[in-house]
Amino acid sequence: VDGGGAVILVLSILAAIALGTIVITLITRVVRLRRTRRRDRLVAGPRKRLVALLVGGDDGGLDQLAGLSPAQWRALEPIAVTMLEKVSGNARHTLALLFERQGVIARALADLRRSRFYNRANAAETLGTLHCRAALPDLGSLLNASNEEMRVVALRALGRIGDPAYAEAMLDTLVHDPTTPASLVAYTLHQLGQQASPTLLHGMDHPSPQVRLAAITAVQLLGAPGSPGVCTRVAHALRTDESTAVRQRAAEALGRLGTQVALVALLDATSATTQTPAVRAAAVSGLGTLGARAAVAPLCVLLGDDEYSVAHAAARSLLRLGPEGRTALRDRSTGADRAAAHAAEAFAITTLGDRRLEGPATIPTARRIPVLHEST
Amino acid sequence: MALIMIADDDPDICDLVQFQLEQNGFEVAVANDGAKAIELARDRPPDLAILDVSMPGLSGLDVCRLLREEPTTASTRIIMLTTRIHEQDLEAGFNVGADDYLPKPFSLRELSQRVNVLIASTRR
Repeated sequence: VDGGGAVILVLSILAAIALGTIVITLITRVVRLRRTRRRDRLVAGPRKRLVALLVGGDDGGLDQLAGLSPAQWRALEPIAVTMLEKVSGNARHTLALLFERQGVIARALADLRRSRFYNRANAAETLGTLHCRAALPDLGSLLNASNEEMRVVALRALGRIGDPAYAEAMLDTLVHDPTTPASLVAYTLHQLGQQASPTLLHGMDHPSPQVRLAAITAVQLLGAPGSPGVCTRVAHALRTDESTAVRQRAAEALGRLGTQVALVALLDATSATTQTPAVRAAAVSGLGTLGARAAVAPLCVLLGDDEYSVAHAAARSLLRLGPEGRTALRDRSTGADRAAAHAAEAFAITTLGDRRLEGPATIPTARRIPVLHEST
Repeated sequence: MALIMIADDDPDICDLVQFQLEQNGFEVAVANDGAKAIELARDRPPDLAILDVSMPGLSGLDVCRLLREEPTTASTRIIMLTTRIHEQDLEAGFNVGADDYLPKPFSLRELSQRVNVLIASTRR
């Protein structure tokens, strides 16, 4: 083959590849489109029936939906699953009944014991979403699974089901595997509600800083001391815990707990020489979250703190203390020192915020709404 | 018949709430985004609006603020629906003029009762 022939051969091969790719892409799209349309056709009627059933306007709907063909149920199931996460009360209960009648729960319970991770994880997700208490023992066992992802899925499922009896086992996952995110454990623990408070209280005394961090974060997410002594224990952690991360989180949590104990502990931490700047700044922010007027004067002093993060947090916290905080900021913003600069910055931001509230909302240009005339 | 407007980019929520409210004898208008909600409200001011906070483009908070600015919709009762349930989120909603807040996932029956209470308060 001469030079020109070789070029033509290469170009022909490239053209064939390109054409083949285009044909395959088109066929794939057509197949997908047909599949989607078929699914939409299959699901249209059952979806309407499902909506009516959840609203309580279709007495025989449950029987009819329970009797759907496997193909129709496969099409409807993802919709039903997403609805589970959008409604509560009777509608949710009805959906759970439908899943039970369709055999979803029995299948998932069986899948939870299968060897393949994919089956077990899917089953755990489904059972968690359905708040299936029958799955609790198996999900509890899966907290010790060798697969890290499986342990995370089991944690999430247990959090959704919300049985406080598993709170300790959930906290212990951090001991068995320190790579488990403490924030995830904390979030799932907070889903258990105030009944988990006794376990959280014990968790704050645990030797592992990860466990203490998760316990305090869960208290912070709960936003209220569920058991007597929780607030005092968090305040103690702020003063004495050896871990900076735990002390910082304790300061944030105290801001949300909002008691006199929290106020005193936060005020102490803002000026304690033993605390790091990060913890002091967290305590200052906590005072803003707490919203106590008694913090206005100490925060004004902290505006002049040598640590930028502390002074900056003080200005932001004053903003959150209502008219008294704003007045203090305005009064302090007229000087020429660092405190005045922090106050002026925060005050300028609040002025912008006020104008935004008073003025019209920003409307994206591309979607601008027609001007309203007086006559409309 | 009282007119209720639902603004939510989630078609499942729109369908569920629409069906529920129609069952209860209300007339319902549905918007799938904030801009459409404003258009609908300007075209025919609703007695009550149910707004999702997180919508593409104009958020529920923006819609709420705009409705409060319009003389024709300033007195429309507004319920915010949201997955954001932190104090500051609630505060932001009430600051722009919301009358009530309902966190997702929500009970359709509870929503219905809140709607009834707010609609009744407009007729006093």
